[in-house]
Amino acid sequence: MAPTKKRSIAIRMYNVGFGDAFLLFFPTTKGIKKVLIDCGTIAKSEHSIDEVAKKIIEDSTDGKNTLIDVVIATHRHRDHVSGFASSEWDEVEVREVWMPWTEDPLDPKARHIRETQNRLALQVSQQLQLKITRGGNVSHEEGLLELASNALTNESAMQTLHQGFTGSPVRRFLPMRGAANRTFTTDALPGVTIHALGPSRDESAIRNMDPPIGQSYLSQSVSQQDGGKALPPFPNIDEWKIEESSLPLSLKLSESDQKFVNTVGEGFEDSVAVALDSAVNGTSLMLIFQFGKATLLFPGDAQWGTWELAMKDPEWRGLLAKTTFYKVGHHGSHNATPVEYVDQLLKTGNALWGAMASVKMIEKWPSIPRKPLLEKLGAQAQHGLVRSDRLKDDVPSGFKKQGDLYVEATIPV
Amino acid sequence: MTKGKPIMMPSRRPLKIFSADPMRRAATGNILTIDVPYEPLADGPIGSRIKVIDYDGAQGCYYSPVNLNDPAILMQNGLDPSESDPRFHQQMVYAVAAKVLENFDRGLGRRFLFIGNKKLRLFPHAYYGANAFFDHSKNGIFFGYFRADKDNPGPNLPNQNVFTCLSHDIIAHEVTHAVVHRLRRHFLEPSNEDVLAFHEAFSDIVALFQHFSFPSILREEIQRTRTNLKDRTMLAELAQQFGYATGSGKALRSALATSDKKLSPELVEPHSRGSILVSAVFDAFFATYQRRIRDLIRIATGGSGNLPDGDLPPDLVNRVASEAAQTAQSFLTMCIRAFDYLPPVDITFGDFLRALVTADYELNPIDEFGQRAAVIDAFRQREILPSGVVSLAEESLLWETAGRDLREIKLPVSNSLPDLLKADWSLARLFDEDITLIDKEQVEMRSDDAIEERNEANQDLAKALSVFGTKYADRLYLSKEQPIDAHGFHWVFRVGRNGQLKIEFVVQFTQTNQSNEIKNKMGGIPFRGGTTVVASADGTIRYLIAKPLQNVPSKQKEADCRYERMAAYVDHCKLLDPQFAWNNNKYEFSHMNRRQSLFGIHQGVF
Repeated sequence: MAPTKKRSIAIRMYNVGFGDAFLLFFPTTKGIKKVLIDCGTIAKSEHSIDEVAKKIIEDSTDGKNTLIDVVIATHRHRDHVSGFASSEWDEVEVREVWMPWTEDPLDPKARHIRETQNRLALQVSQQLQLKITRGGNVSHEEGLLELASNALTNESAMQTLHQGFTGSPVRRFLPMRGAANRTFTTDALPGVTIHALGPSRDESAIRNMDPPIGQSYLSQSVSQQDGGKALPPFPNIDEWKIEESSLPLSLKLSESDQKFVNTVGEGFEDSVAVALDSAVNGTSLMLIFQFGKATLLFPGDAQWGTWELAMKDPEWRGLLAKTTFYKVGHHGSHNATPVEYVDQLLKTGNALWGAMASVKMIEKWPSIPRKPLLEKLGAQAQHGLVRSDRLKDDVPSGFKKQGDLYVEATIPV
Repeated sequence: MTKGKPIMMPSRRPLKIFSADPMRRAATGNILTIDVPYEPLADGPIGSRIKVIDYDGAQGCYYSPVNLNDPAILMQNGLDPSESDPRFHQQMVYAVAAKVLENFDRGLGRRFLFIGNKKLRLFPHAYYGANAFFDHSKNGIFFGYFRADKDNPGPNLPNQNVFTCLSHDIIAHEVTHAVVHRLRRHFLEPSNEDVLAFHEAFSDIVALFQHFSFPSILREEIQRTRTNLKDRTMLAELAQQFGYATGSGKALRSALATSDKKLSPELVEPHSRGSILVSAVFDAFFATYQRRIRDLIRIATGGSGNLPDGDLPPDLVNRVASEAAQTAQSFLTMCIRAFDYLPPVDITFGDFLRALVTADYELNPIDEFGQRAAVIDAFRQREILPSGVVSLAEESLLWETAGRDLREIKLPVSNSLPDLLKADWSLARLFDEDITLIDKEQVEMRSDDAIEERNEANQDLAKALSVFGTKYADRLYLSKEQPIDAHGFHWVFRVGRNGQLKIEFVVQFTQTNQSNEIKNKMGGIPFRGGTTVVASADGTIRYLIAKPLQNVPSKQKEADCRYERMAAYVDHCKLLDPQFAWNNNKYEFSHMNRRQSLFGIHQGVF
């Protein structure tokens, strides 16, 4: 059921576990308009993602009609889109679907970025899988494998976003080309002004999406398909090989040196898996919705690169300071919410009504969420910060929860 | 025994290399015979400073070491270039490395030695990977090999084997990393955004300028570009095959690529940041070169300056090539010489500019070809500005000469000069041009003796210098509260363009704030300070190039600035580092350490 209170925006955060799903209700002159931002998880909560998806669809149903005005996928990570794999969406009417420009099927740069990230995700997860089978620091590697798998394409979810839903929705890839189009309005959301702060089409931003570490990793993995063993450097290698015993002493390596050379480049998967995650997050949409007095910031999982460009832009900077609602970026990790934003912009603007963090504690990733960050944000917001994994406890005043399935904020407009 | 005088060994050894890399195949000048200083070699090859060990970690085996003294090889000036014969690979890494070291000998005005006179180890086929790197703990350079991109290999064949050890530029770059690390042991510690970028940039500069010492390519490029060496030329490109083979569709880096970029604090990736320094030095080189050939062009064109259509006359090309080669050598020497005027820790690009200007001024007070002016101009255009200077005029860029109060104290060096000189001299003589036929053991024995003598002299001197540093800490801008370490000291002998001999003594004093709190704050890297002291032959102090720690009375503000800059840089690195999210909270105290590895930097961890 949609909320009934007229002069405020309702924002529902569903408890999906490690992922994001937010449903927004705008009280426009043409009735209540609904916006869904992401629906996915990689480590579920008490509720499966299908259950959450069903609930979202139910919450968007008015009598017989199921209509979501705008569906947004901030980026293609599974923890943001996996819920769209369900066939339930086929019957849902949608007017517009928004995705980052990197999803544009017709843009060659976008295609290159997607293809590189996919190859990287495949390659790294294969290698990590191999390492785990061989044993070693398994729990650490399993954590990294999960991270890499998060970037593997979820075909059916992406299919829904690109071709699915009823009502022949318009697909927008944001920010649209042309500087003038970074801010826009749409008939689907009367009275709402949307600012697409990221992902940038700048070269520096693209470098973050196609990082050198990934390039160098891919270029050396070409032959590793042969059972993870490098092919010999020379065609007639046995002619050149020489027994260690027939070498002069000064050319023999100590055992530790030999071990060093034998393992050069190993453990490199760790850095690549993390860089890949960051690269995909770099494609994340960062959106501000302005409606009446409300300024809602949804940065997806945008990381420092996107934030940096946004905070450097005088117009964006002013807008960011006015934030009245903040969706905590990237499940509360350290560089998805810059200190400068919290300590300087939010403080100066002093308008933050409340914040929501979609989080789930996972043993392998002890630094997500970063507690001091959440505490600071909570202290800055008039109504505090609410966490999706704490719905069994009381929520701060101003927030309303429904069991442990979702929590709702009502932002004055 | 044959009668008569023994036949002298030649002073040079000719060896063949690829001038760039195998990608250009038999293009003119790509297969090149260079000569390197003669030294006795054992199988490997193993020379006095370089040892080639062909152990392949990916295959877990050794490849047969080459014997460069084999008459069959000697008679053909070294093995012919071949991608499929590892012995040629061994020969090429040796030859290029020896060339780099020779350039440093010349620029530094003394024979360059690795620490403890250890041999730098080169592993031409260390592992499978598109990378090559110097590792200081292993005192080695590890070259990878890999397969060219199967979809976008450029002029290579898809999936063809690519050897980083067959790229002149990659070899020269890595060897320079090793040399820089020997000259400044703390320059791998990223204490500000310029430090690692300097390491990378300097290594590129050496590799690039070496291109100009290959006459046949130089002549061809001058002919092709009609003397405009700023036109797209392979002379300004680095590691072409590597770049194409990894699917980037271009050379790995180019000195011309960033000519309009300025230095901004946000630019922290060492290669991108370093490329701005490289392009500044190159711009200055081109400007000087153009100035130096202007008269030749005038003569050749009857004063019009407009070159006629068609090929340039070979005489003109030869003369222009010779000017280009001399200018390049002069720039390379200037860059290397600048090391004696660099601070011992925490270098910035601005420090390098001041060192360049000072070093060159000391040798050539009159800037005959406008070389220094060109350098200053190119740095200014890129907004590479030293802190604490009032203007970019030459006088204010020179390091300040030591004040009056320092004249009364003298470094305790003059007593040691004879001993150290003697040892250094007998060491140098072993590789002298007069070298006669002596066998390898004899050379090694005599060189061991010389080094031992040198070490003894050095140890005494090190003690005396530490005592001196502690006694006059205040005046040398050193902190009294931290121990002072004297190292990297040596005599310098140079002949200026006016023919005068200059003798100087250089020593680095370093100290470290031992506070764990600071180290934790800085992501695992300590806050270091120090002073490079340049003195004349009698010990009179001429320059103090200082990076003071806090609690040096007269330099408090400077130290605070440096500390703040480091803290801001570390914070910035934190923001860029996605690892934080996926590691436990201890990572915060070590995250900067990850950046200290050249393997990682080359691989792109930034």
